[in-house]
Amino acid sequence: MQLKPIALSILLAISLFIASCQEKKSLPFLGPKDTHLVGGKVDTIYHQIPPFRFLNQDSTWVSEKDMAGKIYIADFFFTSCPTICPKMKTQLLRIYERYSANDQIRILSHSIDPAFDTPSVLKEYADRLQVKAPRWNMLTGDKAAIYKLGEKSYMVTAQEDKNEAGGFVHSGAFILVDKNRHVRGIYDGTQETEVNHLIEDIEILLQEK
Amino acid sequence: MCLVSCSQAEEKLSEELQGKVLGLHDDLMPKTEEIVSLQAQLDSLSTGKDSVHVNKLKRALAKSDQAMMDWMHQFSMDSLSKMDVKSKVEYLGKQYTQLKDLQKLTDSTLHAAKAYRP
Repeated sequence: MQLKPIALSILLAISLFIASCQEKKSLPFLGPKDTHLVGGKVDTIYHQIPPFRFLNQDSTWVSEKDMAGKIYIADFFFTSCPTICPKMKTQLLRIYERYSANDQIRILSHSIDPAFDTPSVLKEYADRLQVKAPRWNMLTGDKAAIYKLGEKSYMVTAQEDKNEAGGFVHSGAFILVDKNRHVRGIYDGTQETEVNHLIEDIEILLQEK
Repeated sequence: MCLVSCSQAEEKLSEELQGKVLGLHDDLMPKTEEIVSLQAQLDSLSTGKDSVHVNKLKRALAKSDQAMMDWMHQFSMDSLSKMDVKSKVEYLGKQYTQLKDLQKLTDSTLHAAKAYRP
């Protein structure tokens, strides 16, 4: 009978250990944070991707409203890119195929050469890859708007570290965005191992409420 | 004897040139980000007192951006892969010269736009 408290405390220790492990598995919120007091409680406002509206390969408008309740991966590319884009494409295809039956996951590929990458050029590109909207949207629109969104909203860590070389345009980055448009991770989309890590993180986000 | 070693030398040259072309491309592409950001900054000044100069800088930025994209649209890895080694060397040599000119244009345009203080 005296063993009971010990057994209980061991159980407690184990459950605390498990809880702390699970806690480690949550993803950070990237980007500038703002805190303010609401009714004596500290409320944190996380960096959020602002509203946007671009045309996809089917000439359909895609906005932040279409991403409500979706987890998505954003990247920047252009159809005539000879170097890093083919590698990124291979990795995105892995993600697309893995989540082809999961309606919670989306891919938004923004063209950084929108004048050339019209919806019909993007359509041809998507058809060659055999991918479809809305699961994988290839977006085109105002060049300044796309660059501003990439630079100021998606590449949040690059801003924090001013010494970091290069911008978003040719970085090959994949940006993981949660259901509330908060940036939760940035990965090198040209590296298979980094993309494995991204997939693990998508799984964590899928568990989040 | 020469047939083998000459073609090997050409093969090596073609590979080197391809590396140089793609390297230069990777160096130039991120600069389009700077160009677009400078264009946006100058936009807000285009009706101010230096409007003539500002608009000149903006036109130069647009031209250099367009030149980069034009290069991108005509360069084709697909057609390159279908060429024999002699044509490859010729094609890549031309592309490299074009990119070198483009690099000069981009750098001088960026330099002028960054030097401007309202």
